[in-house]
Amino acid sequence: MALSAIRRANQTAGRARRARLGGPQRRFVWSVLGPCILFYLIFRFYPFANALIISFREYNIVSPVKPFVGLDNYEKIFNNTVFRAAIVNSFYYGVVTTIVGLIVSLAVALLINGLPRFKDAFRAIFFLPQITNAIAVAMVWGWLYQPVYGFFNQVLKVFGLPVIGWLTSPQYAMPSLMVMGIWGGVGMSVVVLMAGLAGIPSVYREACMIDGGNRWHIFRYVTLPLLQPTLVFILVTGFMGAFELFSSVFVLTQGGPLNRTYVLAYYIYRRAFVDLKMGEASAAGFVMFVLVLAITIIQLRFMRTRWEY
Amino acid sequence: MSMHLNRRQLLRSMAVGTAGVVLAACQPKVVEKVVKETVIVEGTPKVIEKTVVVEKEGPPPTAAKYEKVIVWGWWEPRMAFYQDAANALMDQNPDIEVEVISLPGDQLWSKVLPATAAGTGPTLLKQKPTYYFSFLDNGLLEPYPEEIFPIDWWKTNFPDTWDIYGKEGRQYVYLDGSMANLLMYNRTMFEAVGLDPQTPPVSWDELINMGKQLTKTDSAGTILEEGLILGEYPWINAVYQLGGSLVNIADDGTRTSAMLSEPAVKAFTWLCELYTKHKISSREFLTYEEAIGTSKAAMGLMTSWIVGTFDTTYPDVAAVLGWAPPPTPTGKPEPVWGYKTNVLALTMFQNRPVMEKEAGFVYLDWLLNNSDKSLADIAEITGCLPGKLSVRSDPRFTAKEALRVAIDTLPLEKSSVMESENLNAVRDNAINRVVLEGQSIEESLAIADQEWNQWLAEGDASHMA
Repeated sequence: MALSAIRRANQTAGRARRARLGGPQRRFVWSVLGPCILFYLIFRFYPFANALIISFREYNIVSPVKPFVGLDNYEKIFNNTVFRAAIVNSFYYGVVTTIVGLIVSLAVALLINGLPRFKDAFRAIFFLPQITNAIAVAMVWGWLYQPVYGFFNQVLKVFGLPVIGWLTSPQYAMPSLMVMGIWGGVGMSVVVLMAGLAGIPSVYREACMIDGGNRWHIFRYVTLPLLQPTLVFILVTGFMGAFELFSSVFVLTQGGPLNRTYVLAYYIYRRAFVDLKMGEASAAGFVMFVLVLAITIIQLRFMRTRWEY
Repeated sequence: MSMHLNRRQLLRSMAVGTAGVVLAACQPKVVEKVVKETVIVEGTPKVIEKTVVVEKEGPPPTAAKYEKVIVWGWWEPRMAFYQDAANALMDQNPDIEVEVISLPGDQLWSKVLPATAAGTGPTLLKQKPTYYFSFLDNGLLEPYPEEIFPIDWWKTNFPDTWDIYGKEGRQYVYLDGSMANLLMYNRTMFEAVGLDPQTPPVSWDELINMGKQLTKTDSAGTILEEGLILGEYPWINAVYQLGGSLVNIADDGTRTSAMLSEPAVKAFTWLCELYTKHKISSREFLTYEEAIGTSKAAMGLMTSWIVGTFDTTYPDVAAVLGWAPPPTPTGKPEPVWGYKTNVLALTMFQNRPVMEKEAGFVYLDWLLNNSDKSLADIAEITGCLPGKLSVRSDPRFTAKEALRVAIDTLPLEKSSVMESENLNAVRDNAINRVVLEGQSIEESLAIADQEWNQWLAEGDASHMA
């Protein structure tokens, strides 16, 4: 009863606001919003809708004939072992890098936040990978992972340990890319987490201390709950970003060895620009979109709180 | 004194001011032009910049006749030679401008494909076998005009081009050249283990025996220096040496996998045993260029394009490299030394304006009939034997050991359309399953056979023999 009354009141207020906008204001509103809407329609909605249409066609980009094939492209990709491997690898990469990345980022953010000085300097240092060219980063990591002269194997040799084919061994190739991914993503997460930490009023920590809480109690019962919205944001965006993994695979492994680093974005690229099967590439893109959407909804459903402290 | 401007006056003066700025910007200006020119210094191409003229920029004086030809390709040193030929043409014919644009490797194709679909591609494109037949079969390429390039001209000058890449009696591409599959070996490393640096292996058995002497490992058995490293196309090279193929072609043209045929299985087994049984090579080592270039591999099997890379990137090691035909099962070149690859050159897009295409063919005519030096430069830098027969007599191809060996080897190597990237992946996965995961050769080949059949059913390698 009360709720419907509030809804009615809101609708009336909305109508009143719209009615109050005169001609010049309306023109102003549309002149400001119009380009944004146009931009969105042309550069976001149109490619999205067009990709969906292409996914139902046999679409070779250089062929003038692009027949409608229904769900054939979806059937083909699901029957393709490389595509199935790419889904598994993308999940594996996404889950590990997002969760481990979050733990590392939280630890780093707490450490930096506890520093009496140079917080900004450390934050900038951790943020640097984020603004460095992804291809350049991949090449530098490629040198670090290099089997004979690379830094990591040189360290192993110093300790008398056997060298590892970081990017050539089926066992180590994906974990090596994960380390790169975590290193590259920590900076952004640290910045967001530090903003979240700064937003926690000190009175809660003080109250906890007065109640006899130690540092663990403060972290467990004050910091962590109050950071939850930030953590959910990082998990959701981190997983989305992880699914878009491409540059390091493209530069360092090309999906090998034995398809162990074949991920969805790389599969889409290969299918579209090497095999010229744009229809299948678009279908794979939509599968990827649906997967990411589903995971995001699940994450939000189970992790977002319905209350605020 | 106060001056009042109303809104109308303000807008008018702003409009006049803006128009003035635009007109000023359009005014031809006197500039110094910096031109890039490629010169060969001790066999190495160098791009130098020089200021050549002081002139007015702007539209050319003969705008009515003026046509611009755009050439896209990858790898700057090679494209610089295309530009050299273009510069020479432009000196003779001021009505044509040829702009040669070099783009980074794979990025080129991400740009070419959408541009082709949108009709905004270049006039001429440096081709790649991966895409050439798609372009050709979909009618995107303009045939070379017979009045400029008659059939006899092709057969006399570019005989290798004629057989494989033509369609319905018309020609759409010529070859920069052909690359031989060669054995390269480090003479210093041969001497260090007491092998004769003038006597490379000629048979598979000799290759393995010498490889064992040249391989160095640590106490744990990890390879520190490889006796042999395998480059591109090792499987198909060995299959051809055994008289086989990786593709069965039925009478109706249907292609199926021949990976379970006797020559294919024998060649695959031999390859895998180089890693597993003889342990003269490793799947977890340096890249080919790094391994040979830093003397971490004593011998390598690779197509000859690598010659230029060693000359420019690893000149010290390049100086001690010896070259020979690839070792064969029997030590003899029958049925063939192996597999040779062809390097495609320029194709013309069919959808360009007529005048632009005409200007493009003027450039191609100039390049193919008046720029033998540029053709030789391109072939040399790509480690090719030139596609044009008359250019093969250029002394630089007999003076350089690698290219001299390539000249002797090529006629006895089998020419085919370049192995597809998907076949490369199927092959690498098959070898990795055996070498890195311990799968049996039979199991691994059965999977590879299935995968290869899927690719062939999709139309992959549609012109491979």
